[in-house]
Amino acid sequence: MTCPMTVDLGVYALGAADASERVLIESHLATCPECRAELALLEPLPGLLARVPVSLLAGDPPPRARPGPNPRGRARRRLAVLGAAAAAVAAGGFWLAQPTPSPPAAIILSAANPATRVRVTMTLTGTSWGTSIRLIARGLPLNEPCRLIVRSRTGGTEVTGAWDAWRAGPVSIPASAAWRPADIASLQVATPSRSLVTVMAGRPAPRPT
Amino acid sequence: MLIASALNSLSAGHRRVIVELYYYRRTVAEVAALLAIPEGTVRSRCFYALRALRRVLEEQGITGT
Repeated sequence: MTCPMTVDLGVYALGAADASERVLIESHLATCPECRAELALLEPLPGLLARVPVSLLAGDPPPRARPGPNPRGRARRRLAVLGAAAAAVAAGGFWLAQPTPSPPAAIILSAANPATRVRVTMTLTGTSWGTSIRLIARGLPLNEPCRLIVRSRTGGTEVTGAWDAWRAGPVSIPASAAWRPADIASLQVATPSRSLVTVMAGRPAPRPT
Repeated sequence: MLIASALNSLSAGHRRVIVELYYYRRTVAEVAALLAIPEGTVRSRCFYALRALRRVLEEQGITGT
């Protein structure tokens, strides 16, 4: 590991990076194959963590209930180490999902909700542990916490991926689910109060333009 | 549950950062304040915790790309 930014990928992979940090990291990923490779190894983990109830974990202090979705505060932090990348972001750089080296039969799904004007394209790639998901969303409401909710054909639900968009334009979110692509029934992008768009699997859409 | 046992095999410090950031969805700043460590330490600890977790899961044959 030689890139100094690689250590920031852990927070990013867990969905714990704030909006500005995420943009900086995504801008960096566009130019750093080392970090892209590292991220590809970390991306499965949130989907696996989602299967573990926190009550099963060896505790330190007793967990305190988290008081609802996190308000705006987290969006305003600085990240000194990534500051140098800000210029690239200001120039409009945006990292779209790079195709994996040899994508094993990726499923690409698209949907749009005229009511919310949210459009999404999701790329589902089967792996040995489940499904790697790349979500590209447009038209998200700004500064509202969003979640990706995956539902299986057997009735299971996983919340995977959490972010809040802070600027217009496409947002690229890595996520994962523990089911195989064929076992996924739907994927929904929602805020705590409303659904933004739902993609039903099984009806593959044309490739995005 | 293999994933839970993998998590429990991590050091307490590594596990704690994952629990706070992922399960309780705290921010890096909140975790830093909670644990009285610098934010940079939260970031690096999170990264190395995930690496350690991945290694344990790989040994169990759970993950892999």
